[in-house]
Amino acid sequence: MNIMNVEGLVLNIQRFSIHDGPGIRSLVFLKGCPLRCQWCCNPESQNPYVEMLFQANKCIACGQCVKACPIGAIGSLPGLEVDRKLCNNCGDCASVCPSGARNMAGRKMTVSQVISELNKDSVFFKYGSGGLTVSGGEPFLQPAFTTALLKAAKGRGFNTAIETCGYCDREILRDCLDILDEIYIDLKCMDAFKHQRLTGVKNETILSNISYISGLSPNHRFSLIIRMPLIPGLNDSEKDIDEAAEFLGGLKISRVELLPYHRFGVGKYRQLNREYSLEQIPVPPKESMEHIAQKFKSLGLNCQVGGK
Amino acid sequence: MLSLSLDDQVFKIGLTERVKQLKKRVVESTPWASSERAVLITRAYQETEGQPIVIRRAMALKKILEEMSINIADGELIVGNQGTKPLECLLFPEIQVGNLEKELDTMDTRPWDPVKISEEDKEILKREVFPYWKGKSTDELVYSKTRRLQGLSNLLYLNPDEYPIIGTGIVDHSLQASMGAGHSVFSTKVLTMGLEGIKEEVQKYLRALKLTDSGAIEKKELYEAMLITIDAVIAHANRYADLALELSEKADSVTRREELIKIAETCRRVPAKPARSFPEALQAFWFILMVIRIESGGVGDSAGRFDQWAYPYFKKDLDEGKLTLAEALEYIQCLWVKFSEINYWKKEAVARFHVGLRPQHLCTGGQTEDGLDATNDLSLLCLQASIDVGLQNPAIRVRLHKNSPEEYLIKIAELVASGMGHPSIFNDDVCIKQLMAKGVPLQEARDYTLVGCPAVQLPCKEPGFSYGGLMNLAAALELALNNGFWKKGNRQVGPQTGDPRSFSTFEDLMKALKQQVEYMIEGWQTANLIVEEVHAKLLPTPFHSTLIENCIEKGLDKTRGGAKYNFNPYISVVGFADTVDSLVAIKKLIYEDKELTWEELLSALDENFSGKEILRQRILNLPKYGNDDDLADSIAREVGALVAKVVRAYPNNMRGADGASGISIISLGANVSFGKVVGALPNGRLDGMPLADASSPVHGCDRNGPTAILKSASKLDHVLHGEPSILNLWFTPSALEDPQKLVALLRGFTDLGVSHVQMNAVSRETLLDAQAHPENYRTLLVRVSGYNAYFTELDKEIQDDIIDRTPYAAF
Repeated sequence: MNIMNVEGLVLNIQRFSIHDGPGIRSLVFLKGCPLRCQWCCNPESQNPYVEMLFQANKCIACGQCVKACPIGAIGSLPGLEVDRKLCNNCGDCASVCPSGARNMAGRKMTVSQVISELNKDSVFFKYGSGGLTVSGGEPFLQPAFTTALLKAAKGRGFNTAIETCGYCDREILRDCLDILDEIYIDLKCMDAFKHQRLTGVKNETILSNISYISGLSPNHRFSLIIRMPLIPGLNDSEKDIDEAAEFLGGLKISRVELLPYHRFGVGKYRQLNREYSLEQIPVPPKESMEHIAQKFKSLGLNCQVGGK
Repeated sequence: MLSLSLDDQVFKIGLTERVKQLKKRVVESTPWASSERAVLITRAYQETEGQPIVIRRAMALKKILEEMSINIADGELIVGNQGTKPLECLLFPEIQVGNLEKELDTMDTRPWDPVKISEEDKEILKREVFPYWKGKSTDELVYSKTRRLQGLSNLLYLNPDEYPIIGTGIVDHSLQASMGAGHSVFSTKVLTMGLEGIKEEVQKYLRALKLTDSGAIEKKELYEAMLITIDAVIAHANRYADLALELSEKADSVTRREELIKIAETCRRVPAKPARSFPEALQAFWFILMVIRIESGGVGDSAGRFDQWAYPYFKKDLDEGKLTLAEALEYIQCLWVKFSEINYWKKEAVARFHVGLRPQHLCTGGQTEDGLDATNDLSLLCLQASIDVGLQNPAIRVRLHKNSPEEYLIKIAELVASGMGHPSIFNDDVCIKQLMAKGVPLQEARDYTLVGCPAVQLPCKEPGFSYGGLMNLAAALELALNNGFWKKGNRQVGPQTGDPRSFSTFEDLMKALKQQVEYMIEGWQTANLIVEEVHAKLLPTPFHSTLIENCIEKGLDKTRGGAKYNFNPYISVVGFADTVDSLVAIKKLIYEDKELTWEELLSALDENFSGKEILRQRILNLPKYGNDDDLADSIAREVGALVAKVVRAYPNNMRGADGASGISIISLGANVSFGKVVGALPNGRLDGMPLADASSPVHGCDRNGPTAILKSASKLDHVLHGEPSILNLWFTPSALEDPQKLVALLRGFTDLGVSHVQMNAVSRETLLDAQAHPENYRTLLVRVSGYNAYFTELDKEIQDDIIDRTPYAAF
């Protein structure tokens, strides 16, 4: 099959992304993720299928969706909220919604379609090594699509990057190494038990993948960047940081990026009618992030707060 | 390209204590007006009654320069003022007196650019100034001539019988009608020849005159007027030399004493003789700018290509060890502070449409006439000085091209990130082509600079006054939808172009729109010619004319066609994106998808979409200009070209028929006022709401970020437009932290052939806090279209408008 015709489930393509790799980039978010991190700021990217999002503040209560819904999932709950027990995400409501309050998250796209979106900003990619960053969800949950997309982008001279949770088969990862300029892998927590509690999966695969890629990096051109989301009280204890530092100290990585917890995703949980479990957690102060960064730096690691 | 060789340390010096004090003096000043200039010019005109107007103008300038109060502030290195204190608005009763008289008691409380004035000054004005000028001022003549043309005054004026006049907000010429020419560019002739050298040139032409030749008498009068003004300017500089010496005797430190003695020597030398050093060049420039301001009372004057003309002096002084880099930087900083002392008095009607306007331009970078990169060390120091000084002026205009060096772009990115609203960024590729399309040879075109808000100008080869007022494009559309009837004014204003219900194709609507635009532009052109005729008659500027290429040679004042090039002024187009989006909605819903009838749309507009929210939401979610959407962008291109072609059909009949400048899509703060005269629009905008800013997308309709906006803007036919259009992008500060990202954005901008871009670094939170606590944000700058203004000085409505624009949060 021609790689341009491979289909994937894309959540969104975001132009002018400037914190996920060098230069100006288009971030392609894929839908579906094997993890369920409690702090996830893109909950709509988790399920590997199309979902209906409802932004109540945009709703003008015109009621067109009530008529459009073939199974009567809208109308019984107050505020025109959808009954998620009934909703099968068919999208009929979103297609009649005049205000865009109802939206379908996720659409099937071919590599060719994504590339034509990327081409729109190719004039900017030329400078400062800009290009494509595949993100998620988890890109490697759609390995054929991700690989084809990276190949096609590389073929057009775009700089290529991926953001992965690292929870995937080693072979899939290995197959992409030659077509990647930047690999971002999350390191969420060293403690296996805690990792499972916070993300829903164990961290063995992730850690071994990080070690594996780090071991290969001298023979490849890609840069390996470890990203650590830091959630106050969950994975930022002295012990957490020390263990991470020890692990990373033995690896060959370009840098560590500390991503302070933020709450930008809270509203999306409401749009999905889901609970956000971290309501009580405050955004960490800048000083505490700098303090942790200092610790990594003192061990000789290149470390920064926020994405470059 | 000249090698950029600055030691990085120079960028870390920051402001010296002296400059901090000078800056404090300006920041703590409030705009005010005094009667001084008004009284002096009144007396001068009384003394010269019956003489030729050029002589009267020259004698008036002489009297003002001889008798106006002058001062040298503590610590100043560059001296010279237009008024007695920073932010003084000079009053020009010869240009407008009616508004001044009417607004005397309200100017300090008005929401737009309030100006303080003392009771004593008010009394003096009432006693000595107003009675003399009644019926004689420029604007009165403009209005009386305009009023005689019924259709024109119907289009321009809310109530044509009233004076002072209030505009309709459909076509506006209030600024040109009530101000001097302005838009001047510094003439380097002053540096190389000195005024004495220019004087010899004038005398040579005067001697060669044969008085029996046709027009020779008028030429003789002009030459004599020029000579009077040249002597007056030299004498004025000597007043400063005397003052500096006087102060030096009282100076409280040896250092200051020596500085003042040096200032005295400099003022004795320049602008009379050629400049020999960097400080002399800067001082000569400053005197000339002040005198041009005092003589003509316009807006948007420019230092021209400062980094080009000042560079030889800068380099020589450094090479010879006469100046250290740090000293040179301090001189630049001192000059930068001086720029912010300048202010203008505007009548309320003008202030409403041009809020915060007091730009003094300065251009850096670009190309040499041979097409090589012209960036030098001084270009970088200029940008650094703007970062360090952190004031509104000089409004930095940078020229970019594909070979602009990386260091320059990074410094530009740093200046953008400093959040001062600088710089305004222009694309050489487009601006040079715009000039060439008007018939300017390539090498000359490469020497362009920026004046006004903004206009491309050839330094000292054009008469200035390139700004030709504003047209409300959204109003043109509304007139086309209502057969020429103006809903807000409840009267027929435009031609009857048919009931849209009878338009069987989208092209029928475009035809009606074109006719409305043609009618407006015809009116605009007529109004322009009236203004130019009156200026030529009443406001010749003999001193400035000595500095404009060909004026001496032709023996013609610049207001009468003396300059080498005399392009028609450009018109500013307001409400562009609203018009485009409205046309997209009509094309799609009525003509393509046929899901809406004209009847339904027109009644929804009449009812301001009340009860029609489903339709409005449907419209709001249609394709919009600013998203790199080919459908919307192709209509944008079509609309821009439509207006530009109509405008460019008119040559300049007054000053020499050099052809038209064209259009600039820009709003100058008028998008709020102009929005008030337009009802609900087919793009879903509600009755009376602000129109889109400049050539930016409608607020909140840009969904794909700045690269998409730049792409959309690149699809306009900028060369056909003839002038750069203002494009504002807004960023939260975190999006600007890494200069490399902006550099990539700017390189893309250059490649795309967008004419101009302005990047604003402010957070919503900052603006909201500034609105609540203005005292903490006195120097917070923002862009209001093509110029920057202090945010806290803006009217709340305009502040809200700025806050509402989408900031690009960085993800």
